[in-house]
Amino acid sequence: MKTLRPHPLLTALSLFLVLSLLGGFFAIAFQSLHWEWRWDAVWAYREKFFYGWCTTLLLGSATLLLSIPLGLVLAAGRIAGWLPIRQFCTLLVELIRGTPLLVQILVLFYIVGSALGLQNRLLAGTLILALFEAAYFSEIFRGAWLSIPQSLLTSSRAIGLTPTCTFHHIITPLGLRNSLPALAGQTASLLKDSSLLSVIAVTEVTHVAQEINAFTYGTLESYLPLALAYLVLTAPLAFFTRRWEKSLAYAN
Amino acid sequence: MQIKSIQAGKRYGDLWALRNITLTLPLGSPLLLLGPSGGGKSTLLRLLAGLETTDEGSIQVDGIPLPPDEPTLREYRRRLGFVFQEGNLFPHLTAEENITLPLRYAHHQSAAEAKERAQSLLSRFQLLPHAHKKPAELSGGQKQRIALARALGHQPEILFLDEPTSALDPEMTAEVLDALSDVQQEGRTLILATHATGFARRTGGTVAFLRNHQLEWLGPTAEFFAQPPTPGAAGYLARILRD
Repeated sequence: MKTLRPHPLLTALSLFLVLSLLGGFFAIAFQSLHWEWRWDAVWAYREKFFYGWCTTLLLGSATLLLSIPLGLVLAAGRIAGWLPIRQFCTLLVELIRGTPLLVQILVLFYIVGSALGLQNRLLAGTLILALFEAAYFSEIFRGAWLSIPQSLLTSSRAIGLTPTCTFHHIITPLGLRNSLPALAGQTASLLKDSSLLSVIAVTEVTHVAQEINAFTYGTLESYLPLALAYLVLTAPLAFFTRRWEKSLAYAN
Repeated sequence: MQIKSIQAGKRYGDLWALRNITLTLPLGSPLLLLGPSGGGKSTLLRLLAGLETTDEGSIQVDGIPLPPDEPTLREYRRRLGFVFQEGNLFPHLTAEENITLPLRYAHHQSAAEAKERAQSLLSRFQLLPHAHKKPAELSGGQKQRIALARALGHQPEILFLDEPTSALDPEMTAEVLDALSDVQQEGRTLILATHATGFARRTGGTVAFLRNHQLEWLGPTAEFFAQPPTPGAAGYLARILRD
């Protein structure tokens, strides 16, 4: 895919215009609020905030590492499984995708978690979130699998590749190329979804921001840095995925 | 390798795509599958090649019926070569990688061996300058010639071609058929489903004329073109040769 690349000067000018429009809009909105900024009150909590951000990063990474293989298993179960397995996977995925994460966290932590004796909030939160994200990842993987043209799978059989070889050399690279934008989007969602674990008192960054707000009454001073804290994680993700996408491109 | 089809048939749902096909593959000379689209050419080719299994009758290889299990069929297919109408090449691999992939992972050659073989095939079909291009950067004719090169990589005993030029314009068709003539002159057994009657006539060998899911006629190619043997064949040739 080739798109016309505009002149760098034009790109810079256009970016400047877009940024000033957006910035101007928010500046006017905040101006009309007559907010008394009190950054000094929240500054005292910077270490706690950074600790919360690290927890979010750790929690997010662990969730990602767990939910991708689990998503693959769920997708494989829906595509190729034995009927009861297929029904189980389908039901699980639809149940998870069809109900609010908030309800899942509360039910799984206070009812299932208690029954199993799982009291570590960080661990329980990671497992619950991993299950939730795996349902979404499984749909992305299933879509990627179904997007591979039948003719290529026939060719692969014709040249004598085993199913394992086909999965490794054909389905994975082509499927990854097709699903990369969706995978990156879901990973960004995963990071933001982790904020809901604050309801079971996991001290991730949103929970910390809520606490800072409660101590200082500096609502904007607590939540604006929170937005920035997520953006620091999600923006590089978007940037590097786009570069990865380009390196995988084979045009059409 | 002696391949026979004995009263073979294939059904898709309630519809029989092919019924009661009995023929023996001529060794060392081409078998041309001719006939109108939807008449069963592709299905017969796929049955003979072990890409599909029969719903009645059997395909016998050296006197032994092909079993329906995939590992055995896969071993059988590894002795054959294939070129399809489209979707032959993997879009994420270069021309050279498309050729080396089966050599390395289906025929267990080393990377160096596979590369050397790919280079010699690319050079034979004047494709060396395109070795590192991906399919999207190649013309339809180049892609089909690379598919042909890949099909020959492991020295298959029989080469199956399913309408290899049907998606190409006349110039590219000629380019692919020239390459194919070259392969045929080596004496390799070809099984070719095609509408390219000019090429079929020059190629000689045997014609299997398929119409309405049946084998309507089987005999020497020269005879088929000299005097269309059935009203169906006459009608088919009249329609094909009109344009």
